Amino acid sequence: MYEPITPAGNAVQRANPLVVVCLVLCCLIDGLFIGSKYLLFFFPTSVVVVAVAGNLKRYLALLAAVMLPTATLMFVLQLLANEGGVTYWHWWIIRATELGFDNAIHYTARFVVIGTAVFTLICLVKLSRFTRALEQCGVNPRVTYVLQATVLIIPQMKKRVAVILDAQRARGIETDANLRVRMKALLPVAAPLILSALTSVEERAVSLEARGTTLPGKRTSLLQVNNSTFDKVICIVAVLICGGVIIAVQANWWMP
Amino acid sequence: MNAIEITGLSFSYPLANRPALQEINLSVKPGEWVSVVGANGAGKSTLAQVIRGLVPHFSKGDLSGRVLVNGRDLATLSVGEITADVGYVFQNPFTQLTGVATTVYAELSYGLGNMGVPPVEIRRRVDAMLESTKLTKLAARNPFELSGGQQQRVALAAILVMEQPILVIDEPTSQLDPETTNAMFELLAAAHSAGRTVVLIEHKMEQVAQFSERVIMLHDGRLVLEGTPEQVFTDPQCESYGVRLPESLYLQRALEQRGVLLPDKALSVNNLVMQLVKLGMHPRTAKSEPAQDDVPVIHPERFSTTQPVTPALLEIDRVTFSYPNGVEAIHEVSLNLRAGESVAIIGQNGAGKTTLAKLVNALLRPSSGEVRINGQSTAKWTAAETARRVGYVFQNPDDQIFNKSVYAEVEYAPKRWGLSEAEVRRRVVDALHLTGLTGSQNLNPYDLPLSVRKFVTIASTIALDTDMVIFDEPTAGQDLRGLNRLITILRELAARGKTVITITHDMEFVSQNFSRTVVMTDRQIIADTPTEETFYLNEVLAKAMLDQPAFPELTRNFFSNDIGLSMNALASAVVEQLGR
Repeated sequence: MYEPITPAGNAVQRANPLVVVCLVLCCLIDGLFIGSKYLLFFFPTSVVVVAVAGNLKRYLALLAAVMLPTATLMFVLQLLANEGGVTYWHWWIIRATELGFDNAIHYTARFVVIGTAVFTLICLVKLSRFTRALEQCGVNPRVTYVLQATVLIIPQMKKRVAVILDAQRARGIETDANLRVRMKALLPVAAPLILSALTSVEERAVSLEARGTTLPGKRTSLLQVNNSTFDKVICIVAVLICGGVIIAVQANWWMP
Repeated sequence: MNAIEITGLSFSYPLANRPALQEINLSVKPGEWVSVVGANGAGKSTLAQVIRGLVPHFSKGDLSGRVLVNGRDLATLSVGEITADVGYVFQNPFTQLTGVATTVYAELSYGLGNMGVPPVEIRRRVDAMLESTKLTKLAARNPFELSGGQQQRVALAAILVMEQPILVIDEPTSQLDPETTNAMFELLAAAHSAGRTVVLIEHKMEQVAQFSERVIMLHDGRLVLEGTPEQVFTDPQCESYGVRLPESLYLQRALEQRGVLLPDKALSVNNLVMQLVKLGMHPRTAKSEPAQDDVPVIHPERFSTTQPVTPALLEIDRVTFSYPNGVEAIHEVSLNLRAGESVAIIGQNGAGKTTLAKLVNALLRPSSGEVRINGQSTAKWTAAETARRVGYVFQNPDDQIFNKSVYAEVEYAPKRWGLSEAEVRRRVVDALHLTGLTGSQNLNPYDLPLSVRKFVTIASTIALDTDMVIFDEPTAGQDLRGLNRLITILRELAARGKTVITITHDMEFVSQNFSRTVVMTDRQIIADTPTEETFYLNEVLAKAMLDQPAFPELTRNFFSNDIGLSMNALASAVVEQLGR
């Protein structure tokens, strides 16, 4: 029989998703204040944690597909757009200077910290467990529904767009040629997408009513997320450390 | 106390020309199965939504009268509170999914969680429901990755598992193949046997006649007929309200017109057979049926009796197609069609019918093999280029419609193709006339009911004036009037020499309107024969899990297959055997 509850795994897999979110956010905030050297700690740590959770392949794929090209582009643009100080290299009108290099490191490092945090969350936190943990903390199920539906609507919309594209091609509307042709195809694709989205919102609301979403009274779930005192302690300690780091950096007590 | 008690109910939607429901009085006893029938726009779905409390709580409008469910006045209850008493399933499987469950198991447990059912009980009920709905193998699958038929089963299971005492079911099988339709009705019958009240809205009158204890007919928002299935379907007024009768009644009528008079009205083919036996007909013995053990393995070429004699307009040559995820949807399919041929493609959900149609239209590219139109390979044509030769009417009209008026919608593609203004106008006027939309040409398509919007997309395709037209499930959700309109269109296209391919689950429609039928199952064509032979190929029908239409179902009880689909031949044979 299919087992609906996330099977017991290692500590990372079992961890309360709210604790994971709290820890990663604290790491992210610290990273934004500390700067480029922080990456030497944060990035390898995230790789190890994601690997323990068994999601390293997906994590590396996300880094390769999104972060690497974006960070590279950002680094190059910052390097070449700012001029000042020692010139390290130049060719024709292109010049890489000390100021450009410093700016490139500064901004790219922060971007990578944000990206690392986001991808770590994507790979560590299961949406259903996260929203269930929120509900267990007293968040209104309607709010968690909206959160889940918003995230999950993206693949559904992609599927819908593919169907509408097919339907429009079938009536002779080119959708795959040059930019002008694609622009002309925008209305025939966007209009049914928006109209059907509006219709389906109403029907989806009816479906949810049929499933008792607005039924008054206590709710239950097969999914239970452990929420121990230890979890709360970890979160409090993480927030305290995060705050301490910010104060130390801002007051110049610690200059990493 | 009645399960449902409706007194003097009238309801009007805002800005509507006429009330959707007028002076409805209806009582439904606990455990009763009541079916609501009527033409499109008669008010059936509105009535269902009133019983479910969605009207007027959710869809606003002017409501008068009183609706009690299990003795509680709906006016005093919130929509959420009504959930405890009434389960509701409607037509579109896609929007019936919660959108937040990532597995079928979670989808089924969602409603129970909202009802506060303890987890141990949720698990017990969901396991049992998966078992009885044969969804256990799909439990871990994402509901959005299932076929439409599977999604509809999940949607019904997700409501049945909530075990509300009253079920309101609005056209649950309109997109399902015969096998899955039968499975859905078995589920509803089991729920009914367990004492649950069923209010069913359905266009499939055979099932309505078979399962209902009472039938009510709505027409223009009024309750115009009420009684047992026999009383309603034999009422002389019944057809005038735009409702199809069970096929057995049409057969009975045709036999009577040819001098074979039966003592009672037959609501099923079985009943018709029994009455003919009483008159003196001799049913065929079991010996004459092939033994199940002897059913031969079916090879695609075995039933390929239809060999085109004129050059083929469409040639599908050993085509195989696999999706990027590696799932093979079509395997080594070959098919030739001549100009002017009208062919039906039938088979269960997931057999590969729509995939094959998309390969013809170049919306998909064969993994191997070739599609040729007029002898030219479509390999290098875009779908839009292919659309100049092959028109394709999608199953869901809302995938195509985007213009402000019906006229603008129909003229859009011909205009973009750069045709002259006069030619565009000629084509649009013709297409609107053929589809019966001339009077609606200035209306916004979204102001028309879904069944009529389907004709807007048909008109858009006719206006392309292609050599070939593909219809995907054109009969879904159509009433008698829509079906007759559709038949007129198919005949006119055939008369104009167009090649027509129709994908459908409606076996009666196929048996009466197509000369050639292609049967698909499990990615392959297993039969390609004249339609009058197709429905006598018992092993093919069994393998494709298809129902026999009423006519061949009747004749195979008495005669061999040389009766074909000719009513005259059947009547003559009956008269001859009765010695009259």
